[in-house]
Amino acid sequence: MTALLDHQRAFMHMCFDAEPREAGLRQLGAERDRWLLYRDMVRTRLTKMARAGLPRTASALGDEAFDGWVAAWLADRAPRTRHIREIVGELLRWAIPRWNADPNVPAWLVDLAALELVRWEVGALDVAMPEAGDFAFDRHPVVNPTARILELGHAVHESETAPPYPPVPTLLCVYRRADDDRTGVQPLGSFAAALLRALMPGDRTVTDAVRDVAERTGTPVDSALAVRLGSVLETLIRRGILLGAR
Amino acid sequence: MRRSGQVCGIGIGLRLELAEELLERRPPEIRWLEVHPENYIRRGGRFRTTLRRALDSWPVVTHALTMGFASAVPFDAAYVRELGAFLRDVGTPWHSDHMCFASVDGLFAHDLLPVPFHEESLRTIRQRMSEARDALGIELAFENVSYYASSEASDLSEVDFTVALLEDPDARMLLDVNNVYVNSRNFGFDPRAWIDRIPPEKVVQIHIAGHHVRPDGFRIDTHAEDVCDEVYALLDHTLERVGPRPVLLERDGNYPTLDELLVQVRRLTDIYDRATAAHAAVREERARSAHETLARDGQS
Repeated sequence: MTALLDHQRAFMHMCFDAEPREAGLRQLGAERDRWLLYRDMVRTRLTKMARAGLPRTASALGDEAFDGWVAAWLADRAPRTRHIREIVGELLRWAIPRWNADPNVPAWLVDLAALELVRWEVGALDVAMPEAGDFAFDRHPVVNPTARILELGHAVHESETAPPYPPVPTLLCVYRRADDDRTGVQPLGSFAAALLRALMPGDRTVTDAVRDVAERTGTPVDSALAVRLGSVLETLIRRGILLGAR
Repeated sequence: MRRSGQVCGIGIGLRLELAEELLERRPPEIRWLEVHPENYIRRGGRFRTTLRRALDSWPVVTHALTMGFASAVPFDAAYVRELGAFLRDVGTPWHSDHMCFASVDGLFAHDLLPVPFHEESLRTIRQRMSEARDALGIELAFENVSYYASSEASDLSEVDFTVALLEDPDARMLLDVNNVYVNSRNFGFDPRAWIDRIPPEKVVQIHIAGHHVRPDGFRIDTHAEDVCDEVYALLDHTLERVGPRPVLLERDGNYPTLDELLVQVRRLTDIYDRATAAHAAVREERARSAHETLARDGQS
């Protein structure tokens, strides 16, 4: 190992280990507190980024507990991405299995974190909005490529409601609006979620997609379905989730 | 439409916090913009839209945060390819990163971590810059960083180390005036003498920023405060010495309003105009003097 590589590895250990090792600090140099300043700067920056991506999760956990989870992740895993925005996903993919196994972490908090992560990632998705013409039943649907369907066990999207969130099956579409790049969250019923899933691939006409959903869900094709369908499609189009057809 | 053109005068970093008003008003005091590629690569949405709009109005220069020319391990080839595509896309005239390391063994600190000033670091930076230059096909500049602890493994001073790097014919420098000042106060040297050691022709760009002063007097390069008078004065000295070079006002936190930022940009423009005029006058005087000497020699 070269001396430079040795220095850089010691530096990373000093920044990320649960507690900095005295031997590692001595290896870097005599100015102990000055080297530890880097540890503080690195950890503060990463914790701030995690909070920026997961503000409600951090608030629900409490500052001390949230920072403790970030510290545990740093010690166990540390950032593997050069894109600092992606540490939010790295942290949560590490934390969620641990939260699921931790009786002190409520189940709704895992759902809340999952929703915040999807919103964060949808906001940054590197996809181009496809061209779409006017909507028509006999044409292939064009769905916003940022749209993601989330199945959760708690209504954590109701951000004006204070936690804890009671258990209730919840289907959400998280998407990024094409006109202003803002992310939106649209609650879905089971029929709307099934329809959106069927529309997403864009590999068959809207009529065929509706027929498939009706068959799979055992929904009679009648006037009640027509009313329901109109309402769902109107919402999807108005929200910018269904962009049109081609 | 891409706005191409010479990068000169005062620029600022493109930051989402100020971008909407900046792109709406397009103040003429701001002559160019700097962007961090890591904030845009593999990212759509507001960042992509904002960059596209910025490219319509200003020339853009790229400045990276995570390669670190002092990295002991080779760069990730896939990332370098992505970076190259991004640099071509925005049409940057050169690209810069730092005289430090930011990652090792696949871990990223997301900070600028110093290396000892010794022969192995020199060799490493030269090698990494050469590799990156070959892969990216663009002029590269390294930036001097603020550092807060001195390694006992160093056998060179920071300025000797920097000058040694610049002996490479292809080496170019992004001279961060605030970093020189911060280091000079923390480690006790004359910042003007430091800057006077840098060959002017090697400097392609200048950074200026504010820094935090702790109660014990120790200074931290935060980019979250206004530029202090001493750093303004050091910029004046630097520009008079190196001549017209694009100056970037860095601001990465504790954002002022755009109008407040523009007051600082105008102050920088005044300094830029005065110092570069003084630089030109000195060059003219030297040229006239040399011409007169030649003429006298011809007559004798």
